[in-house]
Amino acid sequence: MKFNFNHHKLAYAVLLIGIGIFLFYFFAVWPNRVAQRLSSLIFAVFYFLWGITTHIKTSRLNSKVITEYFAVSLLIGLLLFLITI
Amino acid sequence: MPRRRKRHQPAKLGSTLTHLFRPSKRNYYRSKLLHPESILYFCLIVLASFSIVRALRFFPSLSSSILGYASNITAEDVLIQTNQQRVNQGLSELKINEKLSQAALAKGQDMFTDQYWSHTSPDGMEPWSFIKESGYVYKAAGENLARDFMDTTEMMEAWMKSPTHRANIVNNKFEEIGIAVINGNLQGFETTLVVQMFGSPTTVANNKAGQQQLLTDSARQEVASVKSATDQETQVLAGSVLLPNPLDNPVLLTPLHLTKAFFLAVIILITATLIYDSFIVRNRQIVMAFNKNLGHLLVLGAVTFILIFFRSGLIQ
Repeated sequence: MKFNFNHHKLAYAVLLIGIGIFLFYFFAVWPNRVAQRLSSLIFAVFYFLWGITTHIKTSRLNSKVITEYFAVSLLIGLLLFLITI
Repeated sequence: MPRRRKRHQPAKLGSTLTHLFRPSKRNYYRSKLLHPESILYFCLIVLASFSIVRALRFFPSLSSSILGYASNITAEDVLIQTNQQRVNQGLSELKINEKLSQAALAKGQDMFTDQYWSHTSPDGMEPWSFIKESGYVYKAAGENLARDFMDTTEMMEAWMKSPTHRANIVNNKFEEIGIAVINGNLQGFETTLVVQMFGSPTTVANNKAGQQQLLTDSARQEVASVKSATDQETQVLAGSVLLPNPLDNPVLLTPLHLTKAFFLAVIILITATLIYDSFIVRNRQIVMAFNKNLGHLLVLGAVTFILIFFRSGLIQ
């Protein structure tokens, strides 16, 4: 995993920044549940696009990768959406 | 024959577990639990567990004895912290008015009776109607609502972070306040409702009536517990109306805690599988152009952080 991390520093840096901004915003807008819900959906979409973009760059994009990122994004979006209801 | 079955079963179970967790040729070198279709099944499990927690409200005997929001909010604390916020802004302290407190109590009881959570009741009754019914004549009035909070400080923090609620608390037009803290069953779960009614009186008579109900520093200390007609414990502050009826049954955990537990169980299972999968892939030196596991682990870590630190409580 270390090897992998070193070869995709920029991609992981973008992901970490995205996660950091999302976490900060999510707790900053409390107790506004609507804003929290909206930011969760944006975060799920961001992760999906991040995954696709990163795989395009490595030229390893295929339908299985797309469905995997779609499924994981759907899961995190669902978890965050439901907890804020 | 029976002997064969006994031997076969553990082998089959082991094979299934290996297939689910261990990357091998059989699962295309990716733990079966991490395949997209498995993740989609997890989505269904998450939806089902959420629905089960929500459906518990239809089983009052179960939900009222297990689930609910137990809080230690008192009207006295609400008053003190509200005035603290006003003093911090250089404003005068609000004085307790019994009519406003009666209006707040009526509003809270109405929400429990008609099972709604809004400034306006299902039959279109607005907060001002409760204030008028209590006999309070006002120049300006406002209402803040809160539910499902564990303590007063957290609730005040939520109100102060909301521009509209903050505007009520630090409004220099308001001179008096009524507070009701009521426990009851709202939409299937035991909870505590807090109603703040703000007002500025118009007439001299109104002022006089309000003055008689002022909370003096000494009166604030006079908290008495009396038994109401319904034999529920009622907390009364001298000169004000505060009626927190205790929860019928002490609750074990909140619906939010139960939902969090289900969700965290799902995340822990996926995270553990991701870590194991990465470990095996690395040890076997399977060539991968891009390891998706680290990205998944990072976002699941963020979701775990949110689930752990997500706070209950709604304001209106």
